[in-house]
Amino acid sequence: MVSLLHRSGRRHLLRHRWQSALAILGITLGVAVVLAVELANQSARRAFALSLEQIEGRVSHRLVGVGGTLDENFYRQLRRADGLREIAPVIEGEVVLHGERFKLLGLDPLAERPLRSLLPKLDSLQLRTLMTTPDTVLLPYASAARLAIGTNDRIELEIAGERRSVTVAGIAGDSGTAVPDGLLLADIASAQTLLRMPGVISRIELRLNDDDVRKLAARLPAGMRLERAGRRDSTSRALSDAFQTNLSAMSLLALLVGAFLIYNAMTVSVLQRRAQFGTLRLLGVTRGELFRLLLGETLLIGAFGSVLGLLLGWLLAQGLVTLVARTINDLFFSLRVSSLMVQPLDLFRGGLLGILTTLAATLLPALEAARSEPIVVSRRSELETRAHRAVPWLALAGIVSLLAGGAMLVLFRDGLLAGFVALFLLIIGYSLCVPGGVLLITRALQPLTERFGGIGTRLAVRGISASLSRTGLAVAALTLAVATTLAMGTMISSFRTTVSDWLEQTLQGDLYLSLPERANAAAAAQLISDLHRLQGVRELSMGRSRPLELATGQVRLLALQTASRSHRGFTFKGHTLASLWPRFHAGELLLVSEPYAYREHLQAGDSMTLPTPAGPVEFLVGGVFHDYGTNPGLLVMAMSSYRHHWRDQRISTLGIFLHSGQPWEPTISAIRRLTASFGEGASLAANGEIRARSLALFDRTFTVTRVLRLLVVLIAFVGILSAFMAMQLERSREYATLRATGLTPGELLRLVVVQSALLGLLAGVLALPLGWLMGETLIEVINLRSFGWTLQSLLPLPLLGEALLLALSASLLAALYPALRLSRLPPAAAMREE
Amino acid sequence: MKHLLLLAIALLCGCVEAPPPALSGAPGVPAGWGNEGFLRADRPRAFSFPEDHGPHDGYRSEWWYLTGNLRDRSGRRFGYQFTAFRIALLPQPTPQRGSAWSASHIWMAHLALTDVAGERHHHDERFAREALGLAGAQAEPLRVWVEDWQLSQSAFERPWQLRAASDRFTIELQLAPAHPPRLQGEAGLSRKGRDPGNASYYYSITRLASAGRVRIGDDEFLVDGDSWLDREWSTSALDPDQAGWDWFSLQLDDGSDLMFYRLRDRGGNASPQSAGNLFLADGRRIALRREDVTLTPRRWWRSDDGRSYPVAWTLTLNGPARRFEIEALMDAQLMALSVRYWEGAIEVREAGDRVGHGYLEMTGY
Amino acid sequence: MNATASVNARQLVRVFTEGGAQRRVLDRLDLSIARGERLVLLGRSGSGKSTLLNLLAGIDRPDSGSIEIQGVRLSDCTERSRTLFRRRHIGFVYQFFNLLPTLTVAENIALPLELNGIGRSQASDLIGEMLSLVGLADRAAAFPDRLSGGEQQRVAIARALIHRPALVLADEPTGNLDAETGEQILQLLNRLAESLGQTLLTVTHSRRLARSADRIVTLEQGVIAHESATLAW
Repeated sequence: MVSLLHRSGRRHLLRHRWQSALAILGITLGVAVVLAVELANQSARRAFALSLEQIEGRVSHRLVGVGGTLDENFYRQLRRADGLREIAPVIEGEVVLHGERFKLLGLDPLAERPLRSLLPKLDSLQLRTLMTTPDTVLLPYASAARLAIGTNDRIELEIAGERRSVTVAGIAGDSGTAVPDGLLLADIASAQTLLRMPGVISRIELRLNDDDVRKLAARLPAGMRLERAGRRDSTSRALSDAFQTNLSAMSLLALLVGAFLIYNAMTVSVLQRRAQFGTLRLLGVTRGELFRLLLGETLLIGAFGSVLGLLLGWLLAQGLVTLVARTINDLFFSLRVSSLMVQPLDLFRGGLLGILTTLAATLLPALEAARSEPIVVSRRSELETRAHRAVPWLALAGIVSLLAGGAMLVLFRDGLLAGFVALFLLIIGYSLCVPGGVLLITRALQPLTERFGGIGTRLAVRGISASLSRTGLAVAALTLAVATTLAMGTMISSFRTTVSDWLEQTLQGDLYLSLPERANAAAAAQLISDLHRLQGVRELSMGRSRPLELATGQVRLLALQTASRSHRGFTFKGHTLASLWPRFHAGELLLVSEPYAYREHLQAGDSMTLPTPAGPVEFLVGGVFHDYGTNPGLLVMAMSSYRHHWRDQRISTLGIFLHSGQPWEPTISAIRRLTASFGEGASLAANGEIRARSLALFDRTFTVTRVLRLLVVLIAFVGILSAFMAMQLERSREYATLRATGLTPGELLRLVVVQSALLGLLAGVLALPLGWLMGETLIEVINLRSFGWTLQSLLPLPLLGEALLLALSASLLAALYPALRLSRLPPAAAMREE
Repeated sequence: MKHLLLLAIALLCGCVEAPPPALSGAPGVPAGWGNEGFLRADRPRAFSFPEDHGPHDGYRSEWWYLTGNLRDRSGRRFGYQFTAFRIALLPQPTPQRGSAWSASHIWMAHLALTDVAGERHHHDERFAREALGLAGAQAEPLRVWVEDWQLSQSAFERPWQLRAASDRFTIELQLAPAHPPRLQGEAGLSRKGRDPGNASYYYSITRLASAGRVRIGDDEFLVDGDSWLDREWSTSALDPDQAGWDWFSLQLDDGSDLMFYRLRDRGGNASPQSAGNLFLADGRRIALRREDVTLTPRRWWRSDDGRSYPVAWTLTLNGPARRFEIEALMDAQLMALSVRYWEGAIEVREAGDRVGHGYLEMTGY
Repeated sequence: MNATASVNARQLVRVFTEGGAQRRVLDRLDLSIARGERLVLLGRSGSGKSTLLNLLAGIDRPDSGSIEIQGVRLSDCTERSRTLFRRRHIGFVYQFFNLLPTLTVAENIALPLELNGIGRSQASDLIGEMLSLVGLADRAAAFPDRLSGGEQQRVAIARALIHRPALVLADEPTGNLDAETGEQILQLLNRLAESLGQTLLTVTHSRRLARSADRIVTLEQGVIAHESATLAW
């Protein structure tokens, strides 16, 4: 096309450099957030896949015990009697090192080779140390480098509440070979000792052909299951994927806000040049040429903003990846991401996304420009008439979109994708209704301002509906931006309140005593009777918690002997079976946590078969209780029933109910004396401490969401700033005319400021219902579908205030520059401008 | 004798990856792995059986080494090898750790079958820790096992049983010693290096009447023939400059059995510690020193990895003047395992006539 | 570039709908303009002058009737062809100058040349020549907002004529200028059109400005009310 046209376009962008810069900033932030989340997610996924690859190696199957462990002698049997060669025993446990969760893997170095190469080239001395010196571990290179730990260092591990000191026998791998970060490798004998798992191993990993599988499956003893590798942790992975999908969706929301802002900026830019486009059309520039000109201009902005966005996103991702990995690590499975894994494709996609978004956002303004008639005198009123005429149609489309979104939520009760599609339909639908809302509200306001307002105020309010083509759009963009921050805030705070309430409800005991796994049943029984005799102790509840391997993955089984108050610790979702607690105590019923029930479509009255050491036993689901603690599932049964079926008399936790009105201290010291013989593994905590710790963990896992929200707030702020500033600047000439006709600088200032503030307030107010709607959808639909959690939804007042403040402050700030500039400029000069 | 080098390398690499290409450069003892606390074969000792068939845990390494020549009814010839190596991690048992997995020894086993007519040499290996009953050894009744491979005796003086199966082949043999154990070296003390402690305790049962079956894939062969058992334990044997060895065991039709090992230094020359014994049919022993035996390679075979092994030799005895022409039954009898070496069945001729058979082991090429 | 137009408008009807009521702005209007002829169109506001101009420029289409310029039936063309026709064959001078604020004087004048694919070297000669003709050789690099109204209109004239269009349309070219400047501008326009042999149609409601025309046509209520070779007063 003609280079002069491009030159003209470029000069326009340069002359309105604030406007251009803000449009670029909008796309930069949008792309940066999407890219950062994408990179962080991808890095987390890749780190996970890589570590899985390393850990699974060539393993094709796993042999697991339904109770979470296997008799170690079965391994010998497979080796000696069955002559299976490509098999390896594994003992696995969680340990805490330097406050981080690590996975301790106990392996037999001699059995590893056919299966994987987790163990590096050890020199024979290291191998000997590992195999013969108790409590020695290997640390992956990445972890060692990160934590500045070297060979022969002694490190402190926390294992099931106990502190254990171990020696680093060597570093596994080097910077080139990726032994996954977050692992501790030990000889199986050391691991068995450290994790206190005498006589048992976690699983046997095998490399089998189909023939072996058939043979082995046929003669598998009860209580053992052969499963395909990769099957394990699949529930955790699904949950983690859902979490990452949520992050992606929120980042897309940020981009959507960014897109709206670009749309707004470009629309203003087109409006500003209406006359120019008319002239160009007159000179014989075709519609196609004009359209392409605009798109080219946008492409420039989009490309520039995208490149900046890529840089910023990459920087942002450095921080975000740690947060994402930490949340996954805290909530789902052990994962450490030592570095950002950036693939050129990610960057390419990020850049493309930015450019495409910009183009999509410009499509309408560009079409609008191309529709410019070759006329000399701009007919502003015609445009506004058209805008006013469009309002009902936009609102209609909006209502249809809202209805479609609502219908989707009702019709597709499952599926995260459907949930997100519905969410986006609701957002778009609402946004389309915003111009109508603006019109209605300003019309309602007009009589008031006409009567009570000064000239500035009156003109300001009249101006809003008179220039709906711009104000409607700007307010819609801002509404979305503000609503998004409100929705995310609502979700986080609802989540936190729910968890906090739940903790309060669940932790009915005054003190909780957890006993080490190794504590034998007799010692525990003795302790219980001693505790009963203590002065301050009123009542005890007892729990035995253990992992349980189900066909659908690992869950936790909690056997409970309740105290009188314990029942209150459960709040149920939906109905429960009649005479729930008597039947529960009789051992008939099983209580199922909400996430598990949601996933497996269970409800009260359904039956469920559990593998017990004596074979499968069927239980009746008595009720589904709210649970925000144990992912991915918690099953609760009566202690008597558990002991009967599992023949396990051990106790994991004791809930201690104290007499009220008596000082706790003597009782606590007495309890500490009683539990001294259990060693470090026994820990006593008041329920307040547990609650505080849980909430701290919760806050930590939500840091990434908060950060995302802050980013959206930032984008919203920049967006409001740019949209309003552009809108006011675009009207310079109009204002100059007003000045020329006798409006004082003060009156003009008031006009601009009042209008901006009013629009900001309008956006803020209109954002409240949308924010609430989005928040509800996030809470009731997205979270439920992602994690199976029902949350109490709350719309906290401070958040509402914050939303209004955000809209108001940004719009006022945006008015400042144009208003000052206009009121200082002599009217003649202002009129001359374009 | 032999194998100390093998053990070291196996240990280094067995759990990880293929061994470094040059065996010859490997140290005799793993770096940093001191011999402190281990017993040393530094003086003659009294042997006593059946106890000495069992393990000697105070020494760093020990092996049970069976080789043999077999034939089926139709005259189809086979050679076989079964070796169980014990490698001590510590001189004393590992401290009690409350885990049945804790081990003071690890085991490696090699199994090979040469199928001359099928022109195949099958081989396999096993590694295991001496824990949880995965591998171990005991004297009475004798039992040496590494996972599902086992050499055992139901009672002393009863025939020995070897049962070992790999994916592709199986060996099941009954082995009846033709004579009591014969002490090698100086009354069982076999010096391997200049340093007095560099020696091993070494005895052999040079002839065990063997019968049983071997299976290759779906084909089963009923076989009989002669086996040779070597038993050796030590803590350190070779000098650092020793690069490899050639070990011969010959079972001659006249009833005499000959063992000779040539230790080579880095220059390829026989070290003074090279030695052997000729046991005559009547039980008399003639000690062989380096000077008593001349070994001349006659033909070399090049393996896939590019290394060449002499697979035909002339062995000349200078005392009782004999001149044996030795030829591998099959050239390709390379043990391509975690540790690579050549070990295979041989035929012995004298003046053009077949006079016996035996086994040859070559390392450090 | 020297072809001159013969404009043939036959039975032009243009109806606008305003607030439900229909208004016939042009009512079966016939108009022919010879090649090289300088025609002035007179009439009051709302007489249909601008509508006729828009139809001739191909900006608007008649509801019925035909327009033929240089043998091209403009009334049958698509929007795109009309635009391309306008680019090549029509020059415009308007009351509000309508210069592109983001382009310099020279660039504004260069625009029609670029649109018509005239090479850069040839274009710069033509622009130089044209700038001298309109007396703005020293303001080539200035942006329009630095020029006076008269200067801006000279730029507009230069831009309208630079690509030697067959038909030059001028809509109230002096309407925004003081009388003296207006006079100069009109003379410049007439002189240039004459020297370049271009057909010139000027719309005005000022009889004083019509003196230099070959023919004067007066529009009233959408029809030609009066036509004369020279001024009849």
